[in-house]
Amino acid sequence: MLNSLFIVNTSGDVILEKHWKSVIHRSICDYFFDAQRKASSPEDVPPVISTPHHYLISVYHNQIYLLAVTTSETPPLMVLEFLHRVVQTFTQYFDECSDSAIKDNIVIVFELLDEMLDNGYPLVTELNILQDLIKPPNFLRNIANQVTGRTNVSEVLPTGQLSNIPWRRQGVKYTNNEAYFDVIEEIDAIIDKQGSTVFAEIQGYVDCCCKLSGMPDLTMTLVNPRLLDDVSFHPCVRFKRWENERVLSFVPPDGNFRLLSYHIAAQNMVAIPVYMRHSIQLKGGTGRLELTVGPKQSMGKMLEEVVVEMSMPKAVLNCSLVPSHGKYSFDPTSKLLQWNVGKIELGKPPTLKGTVSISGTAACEPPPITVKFKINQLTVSGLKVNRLDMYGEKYKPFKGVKYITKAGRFQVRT
Amino acid sequence: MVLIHYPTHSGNEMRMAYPESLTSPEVEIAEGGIMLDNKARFADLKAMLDSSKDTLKMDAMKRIIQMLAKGKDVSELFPAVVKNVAAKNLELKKLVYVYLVRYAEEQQDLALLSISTFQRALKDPNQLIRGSALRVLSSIRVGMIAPIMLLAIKDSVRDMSPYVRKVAAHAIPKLYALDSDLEMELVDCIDFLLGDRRSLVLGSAVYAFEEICPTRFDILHKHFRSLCRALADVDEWGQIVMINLLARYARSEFADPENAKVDADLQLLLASARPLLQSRSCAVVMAVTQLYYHCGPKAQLGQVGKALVRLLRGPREVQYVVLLNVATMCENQPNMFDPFLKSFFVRSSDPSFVKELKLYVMTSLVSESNVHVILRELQTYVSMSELAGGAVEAIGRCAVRVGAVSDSCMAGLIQLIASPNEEVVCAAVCVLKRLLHASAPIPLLSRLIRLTHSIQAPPARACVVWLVTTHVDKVIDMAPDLLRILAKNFANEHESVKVETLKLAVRLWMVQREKVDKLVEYVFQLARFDRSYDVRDRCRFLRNLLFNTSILSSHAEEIFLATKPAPALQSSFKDRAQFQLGSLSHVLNQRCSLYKDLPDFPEISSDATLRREANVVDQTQWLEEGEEVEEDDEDEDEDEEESDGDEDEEEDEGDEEDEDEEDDDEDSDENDSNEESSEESEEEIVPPKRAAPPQKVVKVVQPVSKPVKPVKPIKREMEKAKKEPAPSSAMDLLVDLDFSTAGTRTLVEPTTLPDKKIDLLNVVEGGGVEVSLEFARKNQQQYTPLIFTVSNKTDDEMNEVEICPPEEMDTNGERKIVSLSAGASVSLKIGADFGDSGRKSEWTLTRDGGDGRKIDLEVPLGEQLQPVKMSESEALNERKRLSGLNRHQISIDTEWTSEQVLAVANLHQSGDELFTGQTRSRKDLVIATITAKSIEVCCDNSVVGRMIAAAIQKSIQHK
Repeated sequence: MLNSLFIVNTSGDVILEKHWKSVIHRSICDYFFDAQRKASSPEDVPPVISTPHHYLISVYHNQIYLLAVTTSETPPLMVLEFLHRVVQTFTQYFDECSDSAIKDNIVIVFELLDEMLDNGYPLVTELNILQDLIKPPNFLRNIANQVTGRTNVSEVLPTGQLSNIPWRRQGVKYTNNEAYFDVIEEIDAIIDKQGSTVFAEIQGYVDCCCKLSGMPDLTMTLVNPRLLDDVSFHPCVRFKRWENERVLSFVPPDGNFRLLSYHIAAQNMVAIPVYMRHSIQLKGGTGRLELTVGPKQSMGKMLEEVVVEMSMPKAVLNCSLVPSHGKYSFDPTSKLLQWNVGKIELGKPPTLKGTVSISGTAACEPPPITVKFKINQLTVSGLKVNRLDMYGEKYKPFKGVKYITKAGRFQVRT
Repeated sequence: MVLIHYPTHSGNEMRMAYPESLTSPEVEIAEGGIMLDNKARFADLKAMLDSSKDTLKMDAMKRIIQMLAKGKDVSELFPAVVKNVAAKNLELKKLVYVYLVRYAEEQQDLALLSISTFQRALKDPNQLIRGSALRVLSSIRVGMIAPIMLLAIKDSVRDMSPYVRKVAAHAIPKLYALDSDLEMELVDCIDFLLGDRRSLVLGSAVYAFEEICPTRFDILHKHFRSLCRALADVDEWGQIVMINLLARYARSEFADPENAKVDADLQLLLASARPLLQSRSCAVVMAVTQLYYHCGPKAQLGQVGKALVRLLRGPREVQYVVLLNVATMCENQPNMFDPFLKSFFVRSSDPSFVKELKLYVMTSLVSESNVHVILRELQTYVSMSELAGGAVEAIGRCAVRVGAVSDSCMAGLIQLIASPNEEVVCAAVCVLKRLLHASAPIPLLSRLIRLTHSIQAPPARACVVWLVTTHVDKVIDMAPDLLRILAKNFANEHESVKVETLKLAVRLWMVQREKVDKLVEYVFQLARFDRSYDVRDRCRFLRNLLFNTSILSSHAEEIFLATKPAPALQSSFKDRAQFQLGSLSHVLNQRCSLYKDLPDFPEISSDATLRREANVVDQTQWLEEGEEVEEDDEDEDEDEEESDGDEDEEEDEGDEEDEDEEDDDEDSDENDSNEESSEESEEEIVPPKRAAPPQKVVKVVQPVSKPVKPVKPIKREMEKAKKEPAPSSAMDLLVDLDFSTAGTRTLVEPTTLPDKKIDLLNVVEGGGVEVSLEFARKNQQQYTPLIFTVSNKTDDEMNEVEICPPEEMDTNGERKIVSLSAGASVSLKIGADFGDSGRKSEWTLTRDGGDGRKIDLEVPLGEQLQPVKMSESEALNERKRLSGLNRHQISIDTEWTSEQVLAVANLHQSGDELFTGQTRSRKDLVIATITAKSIEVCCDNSVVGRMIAAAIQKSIQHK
């Protein structure tokens, strides 16, 4: 599958190279840098590039590119999926997958990559097993290692990859046994000029944090499982039971993981919890801008962490605006106007009003508005966990479920 | 602790004295101006590596790996590093391995020094150490060790541990890359691994198959069904490779499901793959999609659309690849994505490559019913600056696709011509050119002519001129004026506009020669001395054609005024359709190296008996409740139907009935997500599942034919013959095979049954339940049949008594008694796969859903055998092969009888002194030769051999 992997940053430095087959010289990255130069923004670099003898497949994340090199036909999604898995692994290990995190932990990164692929084909990609093989760095352990001369590689041979449940570490022990479930729903929507919904759908996740000893076997029932019609599972979920009984039965991995994600498609009616009124005129010299944001159908819950963003056209020089709530900022280099509204209380809806100075005389198209918000203790689809049972272990775990509705790709056209 | 200071690797030195390295041409620029040559620095590292302290060595290795990761050449340290290959410290060892694998290719001779360490580790009792040794050994790209690697692989594919077998599968492509002459041997290994029962191994085995012999479908036949069934349990990466392989297999073996009835095996494949549409891995979803697209009947394609649309929520790179594939699918199956139209609406936050593709997909979904929604959406895009051009193009495509709206589209486009945005105007004109090819209204043409002053973009100008040229007779009054304007600025026009101008001149000259003669002459004169040779060339050609030859010029009207057909709208995704969906070649629209074309469907499906699994032999014998034997026979029928059923329908009405049943079967398969796979998962993924008490236990678990290892890959030609004891219908097909050689492994029924009964739990231990165990000695694939007798010694009725095997054990049969009345005893027949190990296993007895009581179960290896009939000469041959470690001899001094032997070992007496059999789980041959003086047992698995020899000796001596 992969021959080599290069990690490069946006300024064109190769941070790390790893080869699983014969060495491919790093000058291969030049083809990529060429494409990077042509692209207008770092995100626009085409993910698959063909060169005379090699194919380059890349993902972009947090100012770095992971650039996989292959010499022969291989399913591109397989490579992309793997690269994203690498990003996830690094994020779990170092809290962030960034230029500096990789540079600081370059030996661990190298070891991880060595374990994850064998001859360029995925060998161990389950986080739980990797953590068994190579202990994630943390501050305390670093000091302990310094003093005792021990290392991050575990002394015992990990057996996780031999079991029937490769995603779960063995011999897990906690003094407090707890399992937390976050049901998160993101609303993706496009709202048109007039304020009517062009398109809205819900993307939901159930993220878990399981700190349970031994080999617990969990069963989760939902109040309304019929809602989940388009759903994808973590491999631990027994699919047959879901098909037949609509019950989620699984032996969870240790730690954080995404149990399932679901998608409630555009055909269903989605209640939009926020409205946005805007009047924007960007004509030569000075323009006027007025935004009003307020709650709508939020089912009695409060809108929190509301942020309104607009990425202004190049011609905009500066903004002088007055917000009735929260703070606003305008970055003249990136042209990003950001209005941090915060909580929306009952009463008068927050407004942002003022003038915009524009260079030149030509009129500019007003940019679309992105809205972010969060509503606690609500799922907009109405999904609810009914109960959670545990079998296979004797202790009583602490169980918690949290519901959050967030804005996903929420866009208001102007 | 001593702290040692040494110069850090990261900055303050500069490479000077070191000769130009192969891999890293860059030179470290000194920051502090201190220069230190490599020799000195490496000397430092060398000293650390040579020290006796592990911490120092670790530090050195870490620095070396750090440099390695940054792409610096540290090959000079090879000898010093290799010395540490046998280090005790695990991380140190790991780092040394990483280094070794990287540089072994460049330092072949020195690398050889490390080989013996790995060879030793290959014999380690710990499977993880064996595995990692094999992994590193096979990663060392040194041609000289190919024979050693081959030996190691051959051993490891038969290793007890599935993990080692998996690593062995990974090693196969590595060895093949090193020495492709070994293909034959490696294919044998792959064949063997494909028969593995553990899904852990199968994914990697398929990967090896794809790398080495991707077209050897002949060895795939007998594994096909077991691979399909294992699909759900293989890891995500294995699933991708496996589905892609099975898709190619299906294309080469099964008839087109559109023209013929869907083959039962193809149905099995599709049904096993369907649940994977819910996988979290986008690549798996894509793989299933392409399987349904290329191999499935069109009717079933609907279900994949939803899954693909779900992927559109993924990261942008995934969106890109998925959209490319969706675009290709839309070309052939536009209806597939109709319900998801809105998911393709563009957001301003999408990266540019996604926007473009979304626009394209939207227009290919356009139809009478949704055209208004799409047009409204496109109109919004026109005002978004970066999307404008694409959106205008898209409107043009809509107009072509849906005739009903072409007028309103046109009107919209014409309005756009007036737009202040130059890009929009150009795009609009170009689109109009395409639309107006056949007929153009005069007012529009005149408006376009007026535009020549304002629009600057060459393509748009060229389009205007082209349109006027084409419809010159309609605007005969204005055209000469246009030519005049163009002639005025001819020298500054773009090349494409010049060529179009020449064409206009020619046409005008033909229509209105007298009026424009001078003007045309002028234009030609300008073109004759143009900078561009293309224009000069065109000019010379036209000149000669029109003015210089009488023959051709007499036909000029036919040549220049002929009506041309409107250009068909050819999409760039049309030619991508030749590539398999989801492949790299498809994304790049070019043939990548090692891309394998999908074969075309054959006329008729290949014989279903080919795909019969080896060794499904004894399945019928263990079925006692008289359940139907599923599958195999049906396949047979169906095949016959397909071959002769078509010829005369009157003759076999019986067949037709069959067919109906068959259809019913299939329907139900589709509806309740396929019986077979549900049973399968019941059995295969059980361990974690069984731990869950509230689970409904299936009343009667039907034994499903299991993937069983072919006995010996070397005897491939005999494989067919081995099916000999299969149901008689198969016999007819195999008539002309020679059975004389097939006798090697004929399973026979055991002659002696042991009368011993082992008490597992007495009344006290079991809390009122007594459990005893007997061995049935029946032949049941890899399972050792056990009969548990559970007796209720209390006065109360008991409910839900269940015997649970240990989690990781593979078992079949009923293990639950719904209710057990007082004083009654019930026998449970359970088949368990002990994996040829005499180790103690811990079973549990649970009652009324309460706590379990542990039962320690030790099944003597003698009972884990099954008798095999063999001729003496064959046995002798095999015995010769099994020498050395595989042979165990014990001398005896007493008389013996065959009963004594058969009482402890389930073997077949093939001769006076010869007993033969095989282990149930891994089918290792066991040959016991017992003379008056000695017992000699030969077995592939030396542990089994030794234990059996000891057991026989004990039985004989104690009489």
